[in-house]
Amino acid sequence: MTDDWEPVDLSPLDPARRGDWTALVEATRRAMAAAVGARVLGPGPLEIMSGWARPILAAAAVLLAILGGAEAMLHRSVSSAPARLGDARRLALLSEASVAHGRVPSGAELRTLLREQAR
Amino acid sequence: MEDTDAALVARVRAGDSRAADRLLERYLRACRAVALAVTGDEADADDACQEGFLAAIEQIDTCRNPARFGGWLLQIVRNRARNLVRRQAVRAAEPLELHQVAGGASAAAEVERDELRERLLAALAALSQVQREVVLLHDLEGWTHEEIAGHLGLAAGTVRSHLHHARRHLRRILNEDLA
Repeated sequence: MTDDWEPVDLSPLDPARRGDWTALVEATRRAMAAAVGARVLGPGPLEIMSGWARPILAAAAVLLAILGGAEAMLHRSVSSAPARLGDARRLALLSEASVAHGRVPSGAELRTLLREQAR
Repeated sequence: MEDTDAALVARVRAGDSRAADRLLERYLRACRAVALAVTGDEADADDACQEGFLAAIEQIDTCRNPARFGGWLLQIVRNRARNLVRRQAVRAAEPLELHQVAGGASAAAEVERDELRERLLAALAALSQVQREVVLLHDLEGWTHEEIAGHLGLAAGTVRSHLHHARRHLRRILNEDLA
C-alpha cells in the first residue's frame, strides 16, 4: 500500500506566497476592467474612423471601376471611328477591283479584310 | 446562489466588470497552474496566465459555449504558454526543460524555499504535461477530479489515473533527491 492517493505538498509553488502575485492579480484586474469598460463605452472616434476605412475604400474601388469602364468605352468609340472609315475604304477598293475584273470577291479576300478589321 | 460560467460570460459581454472579477477569482490561479505545467518557470507562467486571461476576456464574444468557458480559457492560456516557450527556445537556442529562475533572496528561509521550489519544478519536469496539469490543479488548486475532467476534456477515471501516477513519480523523484 502506498500513499499515492495522498496529495503531494506543492505549497512552495503557491503563487500567493509571493508578494508579486498580488500585484499581478491587481494589474490583471485593472486591465480587464478597462477592456470590459470599453465594451460599454463602445468604440472611440479613432476606432469609428478606422471602421469607415473599409466601406470608403470599397466605394472608391467601385467608383474607379465605373469611371475606368466609362473611359474605356469612350476611348473605344473614339478610336474605332477611323478604323471603321479605313474598313469601309478597303471594302470599297475590294468591290471596285472585283467589278473591274468582273468577278465576285473570294472568301479568302473577305476573310483577310475581316481579319484586318478585327486588328 | 452560485453564478454559472454561462451567466458570468453573458454579464461580461454586457459590460459587467464585476462578473469579469468573479471569473478572475474563479480561474486565474488555475490558469497559472496550467501555464506552469507548460513553461515550468514561475515567471513565465505568470506572464502567460495574465496574457491569456486578458486575451480571453477581450475575445469573450468568440467563446462559442459559455458553459464551458473554463476549458476554453485554459486552452487559450495553454497556447500562450506554448508560444512563450517556443519563442524563448528560439531566442536562447537551448533545450526546453523546466527550470527555476534564480532569485536574489539572501535570507536562509528564502533560500530554502527556493531550493524546495526548484526541486519540485525539477520533479514536475519528469511528468507528462497532462500529468503536471492534473496534479497542479488537484493538489495545489484544490480542484476535484470532476472539475479537472470537465475543464480538461478528460474522463474522471483518466484524471484519477494521471493523478495517481503523477504523485507516485513525484514522491519517487523527491525521495531520490533527498537520499
